[in-house]
Amino acid sequence: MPEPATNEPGPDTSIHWVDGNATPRDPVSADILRGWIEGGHLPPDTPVWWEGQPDWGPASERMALGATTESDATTGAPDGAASPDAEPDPQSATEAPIPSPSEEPPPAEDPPPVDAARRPDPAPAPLDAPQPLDVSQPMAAPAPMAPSQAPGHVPTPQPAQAHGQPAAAQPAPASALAGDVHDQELDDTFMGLVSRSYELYKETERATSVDEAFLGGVIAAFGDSGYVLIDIFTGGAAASSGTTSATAPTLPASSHQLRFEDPNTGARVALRLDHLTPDVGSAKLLGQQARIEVGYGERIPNFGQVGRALRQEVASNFIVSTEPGRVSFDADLSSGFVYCEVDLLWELDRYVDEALDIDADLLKLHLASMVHTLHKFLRLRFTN
Amino acid sequence: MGLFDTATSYAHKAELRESKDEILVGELIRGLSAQTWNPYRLVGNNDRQMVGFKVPDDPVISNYSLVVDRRSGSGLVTQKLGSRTILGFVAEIHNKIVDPDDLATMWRTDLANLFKLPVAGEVRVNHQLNRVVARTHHLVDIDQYVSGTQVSMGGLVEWASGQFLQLREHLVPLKRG
Repeated sequence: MPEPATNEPGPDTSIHWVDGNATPRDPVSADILRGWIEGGHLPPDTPVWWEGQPDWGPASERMALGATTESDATTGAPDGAASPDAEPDPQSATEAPIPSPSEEPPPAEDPPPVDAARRPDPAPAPLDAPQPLDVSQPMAAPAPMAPSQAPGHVPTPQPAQAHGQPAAAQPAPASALAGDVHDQELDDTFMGLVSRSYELYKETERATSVDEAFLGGVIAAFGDSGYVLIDIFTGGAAASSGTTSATAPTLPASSHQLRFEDPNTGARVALRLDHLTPDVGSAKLLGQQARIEVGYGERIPNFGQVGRALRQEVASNFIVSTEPGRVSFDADLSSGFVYCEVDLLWELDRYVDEALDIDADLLKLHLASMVHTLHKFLRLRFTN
Repeated sequence: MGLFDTATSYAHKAELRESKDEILVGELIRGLSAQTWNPYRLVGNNDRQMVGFKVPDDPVISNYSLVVDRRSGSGLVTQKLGSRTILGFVAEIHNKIVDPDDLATMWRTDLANLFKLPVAGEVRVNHQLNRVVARTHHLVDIDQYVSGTQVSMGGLVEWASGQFLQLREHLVPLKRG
């Protein structure tokens, strides 16, 4: 058993120590170092020093250690820290548990050749602290390297378990990257990055969903007004639904089409939406914009009138214009309806907020104004 | 460009009776929107429609999806087979972080799911990395709700939201962070 310790360090006291290669190592807490020694990964005579100690000395004399036999201490000693008479123990190379990344001391880079004359560098300690270590003592003598003691091999400390404390309760290890930042702060920072990443993901999701949220509002608005949805085609729907027919039509991915019917009057409203800013970048630059073409249709029994509407549509197609506000007439031969239609540019942000809530009143008002006006145009044209 | 330049390439419904599934979807959107659910995803073609909903302030659910799959088409097959339609309910949660343990869970769940058929109300839970999805399906007769020009949803909207809430219960224990 080691001699009783004097001036016992506190459990969190930073202990400077020297490995078997006479290389000063970064300080670790007293509890961690004690765990390494009691676990047999460092010899009890490992040179140690901490703030307040006049000079370096063997751990067995400076710290209260549990029962640790000399042979125990040599089995897993790191980086040549074992005693000189220790025999290589190949088994220890395979049985050594994987060290916890949060507790392993930084491996010495290119450890110098074992040199009994070399003294540990007291640089980590304050100028007035440690005295040069007399490495003629066995504690720092070179030892033959066991397989588990090759350069780069790290000790397998289990200080938290050895002292019945959860590992999470230990402060973060000092590392070149983390510096003195505490473990909890690093965890919080990481989760902050995750949360921000999620926000960016949702921002993208919203940018690509605003048009469909708007259409949901349109469906609800017409439903509240007594219309029923009779057609819905969305961009890329044929592909995404697994339709294999080569003739299956597909709308562009950012285009959608709805059609409603008023069961009481038979009147129909068709709406086509082309989302002009379907990505985050363009939406941030321009705002959420869409070209929306609304058509109001009624079944016209006089086929001559339908033909006239078609001729007008053909004529209007000779005018190539991207300007909004062009009222035209069209006929849907498959259903016998004649439509009056107009396309306008809409700001979707006016109706869809950040949470994808819809300003239902505003949307209903604007849709009503469209339908009302188109209804007037249609009646004026075909009443006679 | 006229509204029907491209639209006429679709088989638009000449008669209201051909649009029963779309009517059902429209009424469900309207009913669930009235419960402050926000539709945010629409996928629709002739025989299958999918609507995604966001539920504001729900700490568990990322989104719900409703699938109306008539499968049989809108032509002769529909007339022969009637108006039975599959209603699919999907609830989804997003966990911000997944690790290899979650991946192992995912594979175990997928294996168990090989022997599950999420029909007639059976709930199937599936892990897809950050997402965990619970789904179930029911076969309904649309004629119960849409007949001619008469649309009567009855308690369909409440029943549908009940299905979603049942799925939510399956996902609550799997939600993290």
